[in-house]
Formats: sequence, C-alpha cells, structure tokens
Amino acid sequence: MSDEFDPGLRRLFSATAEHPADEAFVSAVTARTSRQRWRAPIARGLAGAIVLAVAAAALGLVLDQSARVITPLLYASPASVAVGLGLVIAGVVCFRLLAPLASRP
Amino acid sequence: MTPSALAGAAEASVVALAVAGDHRAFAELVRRRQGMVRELMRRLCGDRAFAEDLAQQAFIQAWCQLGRLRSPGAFGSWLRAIAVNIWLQEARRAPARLEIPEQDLPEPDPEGLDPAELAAARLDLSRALLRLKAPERVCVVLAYAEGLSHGEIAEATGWPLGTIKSNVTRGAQRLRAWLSPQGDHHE
Repeated sequence: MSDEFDPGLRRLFSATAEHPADEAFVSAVTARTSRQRWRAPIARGLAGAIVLAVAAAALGLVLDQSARVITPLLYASPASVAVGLGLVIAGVVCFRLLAPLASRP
Repeated sequence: MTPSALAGAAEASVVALAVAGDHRAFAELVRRRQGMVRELMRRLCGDRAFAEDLAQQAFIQAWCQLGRLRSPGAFGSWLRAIAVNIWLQEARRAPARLEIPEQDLPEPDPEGLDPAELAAARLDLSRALLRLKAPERVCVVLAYAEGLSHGEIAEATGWPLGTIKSNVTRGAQRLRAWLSPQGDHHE
C-alpha cells in the first residue's frame, strides 16, 4: 500500500476487517454455476434458432414484397418490351447466320 | 485431480483446470477467493445479505467469462475487477439501496478495542462508507481495505489515474471528517 494513504484510516480498516470463509457460500455459488453450465448451451442453441427463424422470415418477406413490385414492372415497362424485341431479333440473326453452316455437308 | 490435491495446488494450475471446464477446480477457486470478494462487497454495500448476493454474482460471472481470462496468474485481480464492476453497475441501477441518510458518527479508536467497541467501530465505518459517493467509496475501499495502489485501482475500475487519486483523497478526507468527534462540521 502506498505511504501517501492515511495511517489512521488504514489501521481502522485493518482492525475492522472480516475474512468470511465457509463452505455454505462455496456450495451456494457452485449450485448456481452448475445450473448455469447446463443453461448456457441451451440458451445459445435457442438464441441461434431464433436468429435463424427471424432471418428466414425476413428473407421470405423481402422476396414476397420485391416480387410484388418487380412483376408488374416487368410486364408494363416499355424497356422490357424493347428488351424482348431485341432478344427476338438477336435470335433471328443468329438463326440466319448459323443455318448455312448447319446445312453444309 | 482430487479435491485434496486441488487444495494444495498452485492457483495458476487450479485456474487452468477451471478454464478447461473443471467444476471442482472452480469450487476450489471460490473457496480460496471468497474472503476477498465477500469482504469487498460487505465494505461497499453495508447490507450483508445484499453483499453476499453480489459476491455470488461476481463468482458466477467469473465462471461464465473464464474463457476470457488472459493469464491464469492474473485471476485474483481479474476477479476483483469483475466484483467492482458488478457493484458499480448496481450503484448506477439502484443508488438509493447503497446509501444511507446523513447522521452523526462518533470517532472509533482502532487501538485496543474490545469486541463490543470493535463491533461499534465496524458499524461506524460501514455507515460512513455508505455516505460516500459510489466512485469515492470504491476507490477508498480498494485503497484502504484491499491495500491496492492507485495504479492497481485504475486497473480494477478502468478509470484514469487522476480520477483515482482525487477520489481516494477526497473520500478519505470525508471519512476522517465524519468519523471525527465534530462529525459533519469538518466537511
């Protein structure tokens, strides 16, 4: 202990010190830690299951909501019509270019 | 390791066993360290039953967090820091439970006290401690009851050294004033 501490108070604390030590306290603590030992893995498992369930529910909700938004856009947007037309034209061009190659002996 | 072998083993070895999940080794650590933790909580709380409950909580938290203990040799100071933390949390959560209203306190003389006088001195000191603010109380108790240096108190509480020094000085001054024959007039 540092010398700068008050010696009178130091003596008072020392004189009034108790040093409790009994097996009842040890038993009380170990009884609680034993319960803790079994509870901790169960609690961890439960927490993991809850997190997974919440994540799955959130993902389902997001997919459901985005499908509701995207599907009408896909059918109604002029861009999607243009993309569709572009794909048809690209298909015809490919057919015209590849057909002679396929008919050669 | 048998219980009798555990009783004679070095603390670092017992801590290593407890970290590995040995429940009997942890019980041995509780047996060895209960005096320190219970005495610390008694000084800080005043109320014995509440102090015992907080001391148990400190050991339970230590058991749950043993995996975080970096060095088995540091178990004592690590456990003390857990106990201090638990008490500080309680002081923040329910400060009224850990304080008593102001009252006059006679001066106890620790030299040559008979059992009745010793009990009175213990009660007076306990009451005076309860009148200190939580940061002062924890610093004074760690300095005077636990015999820690300012640096060790800073380590246990996580507070800056300057804060520790001023809390110890101010807290000790107040205790002296309250325990003097003039009581509150010194404050």
